[in-house]
Amino acid sequence: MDERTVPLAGPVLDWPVFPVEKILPGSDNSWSEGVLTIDLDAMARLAAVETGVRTVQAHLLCPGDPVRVTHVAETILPTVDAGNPGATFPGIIGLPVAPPGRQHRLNGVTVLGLVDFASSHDLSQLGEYPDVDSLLDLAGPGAAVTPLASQFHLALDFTLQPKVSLLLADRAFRCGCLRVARALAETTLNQKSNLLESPPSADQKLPAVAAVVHVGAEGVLLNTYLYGRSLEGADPTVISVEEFFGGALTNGAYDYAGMRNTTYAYQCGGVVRQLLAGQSSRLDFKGVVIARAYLTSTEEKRRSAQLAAERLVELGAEAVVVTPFQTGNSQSDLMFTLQECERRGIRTAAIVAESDGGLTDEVPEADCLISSGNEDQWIEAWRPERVVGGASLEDGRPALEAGPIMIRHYLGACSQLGDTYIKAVTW
Amino acid sequence: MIVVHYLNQFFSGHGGETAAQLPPGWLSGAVGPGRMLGFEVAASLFCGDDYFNEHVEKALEMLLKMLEREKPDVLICGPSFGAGRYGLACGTLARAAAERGIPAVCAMEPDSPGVSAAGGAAYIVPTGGSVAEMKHVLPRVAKLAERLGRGESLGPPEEEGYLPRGVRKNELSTALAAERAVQALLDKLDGRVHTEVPLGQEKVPPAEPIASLEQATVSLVSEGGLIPIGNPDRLPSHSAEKWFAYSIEGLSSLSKDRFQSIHGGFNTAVANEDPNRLVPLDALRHLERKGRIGQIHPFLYSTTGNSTTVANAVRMGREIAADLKKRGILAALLVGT
Repeated sequence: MDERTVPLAGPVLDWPVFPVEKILPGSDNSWSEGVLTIDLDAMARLAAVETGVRTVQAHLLCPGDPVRVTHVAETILPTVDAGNPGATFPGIIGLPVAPPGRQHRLNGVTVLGLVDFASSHDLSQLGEYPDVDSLLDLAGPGAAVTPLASQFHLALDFTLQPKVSLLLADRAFRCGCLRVARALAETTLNQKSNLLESPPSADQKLPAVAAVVHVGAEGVLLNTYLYGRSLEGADPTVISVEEFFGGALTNGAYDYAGMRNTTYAYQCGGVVRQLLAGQSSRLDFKGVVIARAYLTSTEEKRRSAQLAAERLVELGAEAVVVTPFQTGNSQSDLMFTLQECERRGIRTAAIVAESDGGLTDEVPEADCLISSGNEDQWIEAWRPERVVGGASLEDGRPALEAGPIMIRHYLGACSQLGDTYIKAVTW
Repeated sequence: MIVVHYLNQFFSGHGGETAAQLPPGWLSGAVGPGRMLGFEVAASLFCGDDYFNEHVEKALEMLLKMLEREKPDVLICGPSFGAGRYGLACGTLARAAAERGIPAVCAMEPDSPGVSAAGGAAYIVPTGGSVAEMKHVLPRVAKLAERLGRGESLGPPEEEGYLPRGVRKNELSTALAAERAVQALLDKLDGRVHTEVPLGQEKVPPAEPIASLEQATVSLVSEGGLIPIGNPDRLPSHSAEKWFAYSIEGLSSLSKDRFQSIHGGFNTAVANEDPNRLVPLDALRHLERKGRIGQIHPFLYSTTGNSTTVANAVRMGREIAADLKKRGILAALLVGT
């Protein structure tokens, strides 16, 4: 196996990990020695339990399948609170228990939530919602650009009730995906894993490093949730790693797929996982600050950047990695944050996806930027044998014969949390 | 494969400095160094260095017309080595050709002004400053030109032997971006600062103040996606690559029955209820009536500034500014969103 296809949900904290090396349809859900058996009908029914869902079709997908998946809105790592399963994904489908308890996590499989909101609801009044493609190719050139292509997937293809408000229909979609993710991980509740990792205690002589993770919270279909509550209006907040990895932070923002932080992206953690992995050996990990981006005025952006930097001062951080939310004007949120940190003596690095022609904004303090790719590059044409999730792309092209597609439409390809091998270099 | 070669007055055999004012011209077949390229050259274009640099627009127009007649598969400019004026001409012509879909290859010193004139559009083989390198440089130029002329794509600059063009292409790294970010931060704490993303946005100095706003024609320019109802030009709600000019002649304000915003990056409800709050024609008309401004340009320049690449935004800005300048318009009210 190419090392670049290794699943990303590796051990964090002291939470057991249950590897999935094969998935099979069956009459019940079970996990045994790397084989996950899934009752597809039961999972489709479970996903459709909330008011607002009209139908759900379940599909098993494997790495290398000649399949293109369209309308991918959300991805979730199957997880369950081992001590209190009813508190899994707290505040949304679970009891609001803070922080999340010790999780059992399946590694190598995701729940993919597919939905076309525009087919059931009028999105014209949303203004902000980008009517853009969101794809995952499990083979062909598009598979090489995202680590998600090397995972197994239970794809849940939703249609929504048009008569239910968009707010509730979206909630029903998200909750349906989360319920199924919990149900898959529940197969491990009475099982033991050899894969777990306890974080060693920190050596105070190591550099004190933290992370700032920018999130989006602009309204329905553009929200990030903490314990089920939208972060709209929230100031920068310190959250624990248990909250970050453990399902308290969930996605409901369906911006460009390439740069989208799905719930799976938070659960895997990207740079937060890397910082945790370096704990005690290379650095003293101080914590995570989540801060909204895409704020609507310069004043708001500056204010948020200052508050994020202040939270880092309180954590005792001397250095920070900042991850942006999407691209475009949120690069100003990023730049202000780098500037405010450096002004306080906190050294900075950031991950950033570029567009053709460079960044939207820049400051001299941004002297340590790591590329997660050029979002405007094209991925060459590929003809899948099958399409799951909708036969047409947003511009009407048939998904089977779409021709070249921009990398920004491939889920996770330019991950802003850094779980991507894609990097832009100068030619 | 049809190859056209551009040379200055000296290398085209018209003389040295005394012929630097030579206007553009055309010769059949190869001349000078073109004879050593190793393949057939259909035509050679030439121009005096001083003429080109003192009459850039005119020289370019004439040379491009000649190019269009030849319909080449590839254009070769130079080599110009360390010659500044020649390099500028080569870079400028190569860029114009490349922007018209004709791949172009130059050869010059890396610090020649021709490199920036080429704007990353052309492939430039790096040379030293001396013409003595000619026999070593020409085969490298020919190799690139032949492949481009046959429609092949070139690999990375360090493998193919051309100067980086500033194009940012994706490749697969051996480490996750997250791993590289943590390492880069730790390196920075150790005093080793490095970046993967070069900065360097173009800094545009502000224009000179307007001597008399009362005399000036003021234009309205917006990236707010404001278009006539029905979107006749199908301006997209995001990722726009074009701008349009819409008549506002004789209108006292922008009526919601005639204009709407299709911008996909903000909630357009308020703008569509009263388009003047997006593009304030009503307020500008008031100033016009009061004599505070001379007059309002009768066209609104409009595009969508949402998910637009920086490269496209820069190009559209240049095009709109050039159009305004051509029409003698001294001021533009830019309404951003």
